[in-house]
Amino acid sequence: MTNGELYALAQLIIPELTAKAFVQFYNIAFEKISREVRLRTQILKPNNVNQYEDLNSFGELDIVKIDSVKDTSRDDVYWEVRHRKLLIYDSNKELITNETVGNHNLEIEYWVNISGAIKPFPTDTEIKNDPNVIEEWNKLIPGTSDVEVQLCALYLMITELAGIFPLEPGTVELYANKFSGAFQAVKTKYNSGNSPATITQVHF
Amino acid sequence: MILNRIDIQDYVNSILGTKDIIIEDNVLMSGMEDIVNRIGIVNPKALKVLETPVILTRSSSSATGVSSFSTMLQYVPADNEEIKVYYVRSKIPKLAIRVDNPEQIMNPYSLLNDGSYGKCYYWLEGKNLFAYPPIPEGAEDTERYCAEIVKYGIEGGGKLLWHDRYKYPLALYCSIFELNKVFNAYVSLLVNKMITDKIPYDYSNVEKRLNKDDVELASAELQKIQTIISEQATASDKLRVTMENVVNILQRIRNLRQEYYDWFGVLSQAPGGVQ
Repeated sequence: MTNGELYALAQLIIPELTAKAFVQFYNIAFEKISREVRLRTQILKPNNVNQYEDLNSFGELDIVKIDSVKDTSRDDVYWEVRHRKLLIYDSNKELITNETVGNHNLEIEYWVNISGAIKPFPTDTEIKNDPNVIEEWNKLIPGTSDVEVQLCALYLMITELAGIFPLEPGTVELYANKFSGAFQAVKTKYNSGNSPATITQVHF
Repeated sequence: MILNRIDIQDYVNSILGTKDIIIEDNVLMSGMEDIVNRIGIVNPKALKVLETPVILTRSSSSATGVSSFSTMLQYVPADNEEIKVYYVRSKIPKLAIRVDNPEQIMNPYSLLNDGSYGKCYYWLEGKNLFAYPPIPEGAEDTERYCAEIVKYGIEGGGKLLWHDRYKYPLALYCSIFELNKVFNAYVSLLVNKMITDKIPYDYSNVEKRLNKDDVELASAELQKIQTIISEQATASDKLRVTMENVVNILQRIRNLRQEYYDWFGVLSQAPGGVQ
């Protein structure tokens, strides 16, 4: 679903919801989910240690977890995380440094969280300068195009909005339950569903 | 069904068994106001039938000093009751949202303010309803605010802005009002006859009390008079007949008043008003 479609859906549940509030709370919900569900992974091919060493400034993205570290041209490498620093060792268990990193073709696959799934809603000045800017915002796809994940974030967002926007306790409970089910489904789909080990051939 | 003053007058005449009662505008208006306020207490949803679409006009809010659109309310709903206020553009209505503190939505950095594209809001200031954001100057032909509010009154040609469903309580109210007038006049007549018949009584404050147009005061006076007349063997038959008539009128007022209150009692138990 696009931004516009998701916002329209959210407005059906909370008519008072503004686009600005929708962006903020949807992004909070989406980020929470992205920290629990492996929605997006990236591959970094570093050519110096500084690019990966500090996990707090890793590839300009917030890192949730290192999935794998490999050397595509040579033997196995070993890695560990100590005090938010990624340390990679060669097959002789020697620490890879800036001097030796060029001898390896390192590939680091890592899971990132998604903090700004939806672009901020255009300001009045932006709208005045370009009348199509709202239409463009409406057509954008937030974070991921997987409707299951989008709905999961929407359900979580509604529970986050409880107490701020007028919502009946029954409605909050309904969406909390919906979120619980949807969250389990997306966790299975993204965190374990892609693993070949879970696909078993069955003979009758 | 369109109601006229004549319809209410006919109803009142049939309730009172009279032919020539003419109901004045102020009586009709106070009757409508009383009924609306009572319905507002016992079953506000039942006021829906009296709602009329009204277009809001450009004005300035004294609380915010900001130019906005407003209208005056005859009936002010309770805090938890919503009023349907629409911002209409290209014939497509957008429902406005009620806010208690307009300042929160006027701040351009507020999460509740999406700028010109955003939500429309309304708030109440005393009996005035304000809508925000304002419609740009000159755009009133294509854009407008419209509110569905409770409206009642008397229009030109004796036409009433009222619903047929509430014709009966209005006729009851007017009947009680007419009987009250008659009752006070009859008590005065009775007092004059007592003076003529030389019935001993404390007349010093009677006129003052009766001039207040208060049925309860007049009925208290009547009770005192009843006691005095029943104790006076010299009281004439004419005086006794007049007294009986006054007592009957008072009883009629009480019966009608009870019927009037009972009508609201029934209404309070109906989910969406009387059928």
